[in-house]
Amino acid sequence: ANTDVLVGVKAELDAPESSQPNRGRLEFFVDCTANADPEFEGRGGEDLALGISSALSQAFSSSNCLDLCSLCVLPGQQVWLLYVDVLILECGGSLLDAVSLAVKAALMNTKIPAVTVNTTEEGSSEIEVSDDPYDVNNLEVSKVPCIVTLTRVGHQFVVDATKEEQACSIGHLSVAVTESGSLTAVRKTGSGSLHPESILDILQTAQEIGINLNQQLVEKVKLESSVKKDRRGFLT
Amino acid sequence: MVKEVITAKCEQDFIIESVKADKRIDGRELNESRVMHITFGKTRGCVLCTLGNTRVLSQVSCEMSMPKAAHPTEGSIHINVELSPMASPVFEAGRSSDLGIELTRVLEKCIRDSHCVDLEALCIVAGEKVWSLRVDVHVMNHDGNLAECAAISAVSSLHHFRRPEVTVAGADVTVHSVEEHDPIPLSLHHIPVCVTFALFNSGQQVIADPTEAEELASEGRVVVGVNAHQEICMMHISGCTPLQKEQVQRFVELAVNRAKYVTESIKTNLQHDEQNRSSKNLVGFAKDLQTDKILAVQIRPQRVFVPPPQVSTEETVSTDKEVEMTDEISPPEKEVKVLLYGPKTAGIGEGGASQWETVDLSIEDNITTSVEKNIDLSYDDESEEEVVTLGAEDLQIESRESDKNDKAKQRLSRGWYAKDAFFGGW
Amino acid sequence: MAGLELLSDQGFRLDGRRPHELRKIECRMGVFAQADGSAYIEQGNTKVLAAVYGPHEMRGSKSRGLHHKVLINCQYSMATFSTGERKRRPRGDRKSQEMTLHLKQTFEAAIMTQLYPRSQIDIFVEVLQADGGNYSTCVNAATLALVDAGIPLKDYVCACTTGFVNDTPMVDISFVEESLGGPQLTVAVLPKSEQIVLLEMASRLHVDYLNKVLKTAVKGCKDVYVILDEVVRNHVAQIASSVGSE
Repeated sequence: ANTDVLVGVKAELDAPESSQPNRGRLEFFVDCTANADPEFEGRGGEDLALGISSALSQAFSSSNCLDLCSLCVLPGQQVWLLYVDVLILECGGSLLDAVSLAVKAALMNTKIPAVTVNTTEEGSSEIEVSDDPYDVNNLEVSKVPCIVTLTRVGHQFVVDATKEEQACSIGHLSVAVTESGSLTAVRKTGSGSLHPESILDILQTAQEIGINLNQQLVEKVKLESSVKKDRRGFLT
Repeated sequence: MVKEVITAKCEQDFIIESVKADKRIDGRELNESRVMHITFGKTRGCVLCTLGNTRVLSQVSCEMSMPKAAHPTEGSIHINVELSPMASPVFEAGRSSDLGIELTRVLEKCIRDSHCVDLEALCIVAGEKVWSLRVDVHVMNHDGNLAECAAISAVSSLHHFRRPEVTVAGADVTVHSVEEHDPIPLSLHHIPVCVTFALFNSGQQVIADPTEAEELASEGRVVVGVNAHQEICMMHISGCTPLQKEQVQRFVELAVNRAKYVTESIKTNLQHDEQNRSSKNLVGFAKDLQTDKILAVQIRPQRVFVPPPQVSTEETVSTDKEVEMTDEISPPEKEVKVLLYGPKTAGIGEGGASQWETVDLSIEDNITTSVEKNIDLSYDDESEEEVVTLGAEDLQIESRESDKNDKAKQRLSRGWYAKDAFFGGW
Repeated sequence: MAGLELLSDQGFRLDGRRPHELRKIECRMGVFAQADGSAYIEQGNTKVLAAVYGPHEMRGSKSRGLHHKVLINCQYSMATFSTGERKRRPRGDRKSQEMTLHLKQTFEAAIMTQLYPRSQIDIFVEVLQADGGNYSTCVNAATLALVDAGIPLKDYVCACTTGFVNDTPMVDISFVEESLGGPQLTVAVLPKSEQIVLLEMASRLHVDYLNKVLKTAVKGCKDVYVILDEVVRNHVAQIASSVGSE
C-alpha cells in the first residue's frame, strides 16, 4: 500500500511564549484518520499521532531549522503561530519520512500575509494584516530537515521500508537531515539494539540520502507549482 | 458499552398490531397526546414539564462573559442536557449517549438556531460584556417523547426566567440585586415547541406522543419543531424508514396543530403563575407536593370503559359506556368488567362473587331471589368504590349509608388488601 | 441580511449561480488501495474523502454484532485545517457526533443490511475542506465509496442542502449562504423512488413554503444522482477496459 499524507499549515496571530518573547511559535498536530486503518477510529490513532508529532517537534527544535524570529510581529505581544496539521490518510510504511517531506513541502508553500505595525499617539500599537492575497511573505525553508529512517531487517538496513519490512524489523533509526547535510535530530525506535559502528554507517548513509531527498523535494515542489494543471490532488 | 433496553418481541408485535388496528395500548387515539402539565418552581426559570410519565426539569441561569469575537454584540445561549440514570436504567451517568447527543442537538436547533431568544438584547457592553444563558435540562423520568417534553420545559423556563437588571455608566457595569431592581424578562421572539411522532407500518401510520414502549416498537421517529406562527424551526427524522414527500407534509400539518395547543397552554400556565406570584399565593413545587401533582406515582383521572355485557337474559345493564371522571383525588381506575355469575348474579371485576363483600348474605339472598327487575349499574362519584345500585324497590335495604359503614368496617378487617382489590387488574 | 445580498435582482447568487444550480461536482472512485472502497469528491470548494471497510468480521467486542443485519459503523471527522478558523479537534465534538449518527441512519436505510448478519461495515468520511453542505457532500462521497466497495445498495443515496432566500429555494448552498442564518433543509433521498431517508432542518421556515423547498431539494438530489451515476459508469468502464486489455 502507499503512504498518503496531507499537511495543512495555518497561521494565526497569538501571544508568544513568555520564555521566548521575540520568536514565533510552531505547533504540530497529527491526526491518524480512520481512512488509513479502521483501528484508528475514535481515539485509536492517538498514540501513533503523538509519537509522530513529538518526532517532528524534536526535528524542528534546533533553532537553525526554521527562522522563528522572522515570525515575530510585536516582540512580547504578537507573533505568528504556525499550526502544522498532518492528516495521515493511508499508511504503508515509512510514515515519518513521508510526513516530514509533506511538512517541508507545505511550509515551502505557506504564505504569510504582510503585517504593518502602526504606533498610535498614545504609544499603543495597532496591527494591520494585509488582505491582499499577493501581499504575502514566504517562509525560509532551506534549512528545514527531512527525516530519513533506516530500518534494520536482519543484518541489513533498508531505507523507505514498506509495511511488511517494518513488521520484520527490530529497530529503526530516524535521522533528520537538512539540505546542507547537517543532522538536527536522531531518534531510535523499536525494541532491538544497534551496534555503535552500524550507527555511524547509518548516519552517513542517511546524510547522503537526506541531502539528495531535500534537493529532489525542492525541485518537485517548484515543478508542481509552476505547471498549470486543471486536475490536482486526488482527482489526478 | 451502553446498555440497551430489551423488550420482548411479543410486546413489540402487540404494539405494532394494535397500531395497525388504530388502537394504542394506553387507550389513546393515534393522534392523541398524553396530558401535559407545566409546573413552575419557586426560583425564576425553573420548570418541570410532565407528559404522561415523562418528566423533564429545566433551569435557566445566566452569567456575564466575554462575547465571541465574531459576534461582539450578541450574548450566547448554551443548552446542556442531562440524562441521569434516575430517568431510565439505560442512561449512564456522565456519558453522552447517542440519545443524549440527538436530544441536545434537537433542542439546540429548536431553541438556539431558530433565534428564539433575542441575543442582541443580552449585550451589556459591546465586545466586552454580554450575558450568557445556560439552560440545564434534566430528564427525570423517561417514558418516551423526550424531545417534546424537554422542548416545552426548556422554552417555558426561558420564558419564566428573569435576569438581573444592569446599568452601564461609562466603563462601570453595576448589576442590581433583586431587591434593588426588579429583574427583567428575556426578550423572546417566539415559542418553538417540538412535536414527536412515531412511525409505524413503513411510515403509513403515525402516532403522536409515543411512550417509550411505542418508540421502541416503532420504525422511527419524526421530531418537528414548530411555533405558533406556523414556522418550522427544526425537523429531524430518526430511524431508517424511507418516507415520501407527502408523508412529510402530513407530519408537519399535524405538528402545526399540536404546536398551537401547546404554545397556548404554555402561555396560560405562565399567566397563571404570574398571577399567583403577584397575588402572593403559594408558588413553587411545594404546593404541588400537597396535591400529589409532582409525585412519580401520581394518579390521574382516566376514562373508564364499561363494555356492555353480552348476555341474552332479560336483564339490561347500564348502557353508559364511558364515564368521565373528573375528581382529582379519586382512586386509580381500571377497566371495570361486569361479570355475570349466574342468570341473576353480577359481579364487578374479577374479584368475583366474594364471600366478604359489601352486602349481607341476607341481602345477597334477596338479590338472587329477586327476579325480573333491572339492575342499574352506575358510578357513584362520592363513594370510593363502584357501587351497584340494584332495583331498590325489590331489595329491602334500609339505607345506603349504613351499608357503606359496614363496608368500611369490613375493609379494615381485610388487612393488607388494597381498597381497590375488586377492580381487578394488577 | 447583514448587508450581503444572497440573491441579486437579476436572480444570481453570490458565486454567480442561479438558484437551482449545483456547484461543480468532481469526483474520483478508488483513491486508496488499502480500503475496500474509497472515493473523493469536490463539490465546489467542499472536499471530502470517504473510505469503506467491510463487510468484515466484528471488530472489538463480538457482542456488538447484530444477528439479523450488518452493523454499520460510521465516523465523521473534519481535518483541523478544513475550516476558516482552525478546528481544535478533528472529531468528538457534538456536531461531528451528530453527523456520525446521521450518516449511520442514512446508510442503514440504503444498504441491504440483511445480507450480512453478524458483520460490520465501516464508513469513514473525512472533510478536507469545508465550504457548506458538508453533510450532503459526505453522503455523496460515502455512496461512491460504497459502490466502489461493491456493497449492495437499494439505490444511490444522494443528498443536497437547500436554503431559502427571498421566496426562492437555492440548492447546494455554500458556507457564506449557510452562515447568514436563513432556513436550510438537508435531505438525503433514494433518487429512483424519491424516498427520503434523512431530513434535517434548521432555522425558521413557514409551513407554506415547505413543499416548495422540499421539492427543490429533491430535484437537487436527482441532479446529483445524474453526476454520480456517470462517474460510476465511467469508472466501471475504465476498469473493464483495463481488464480486457491484459
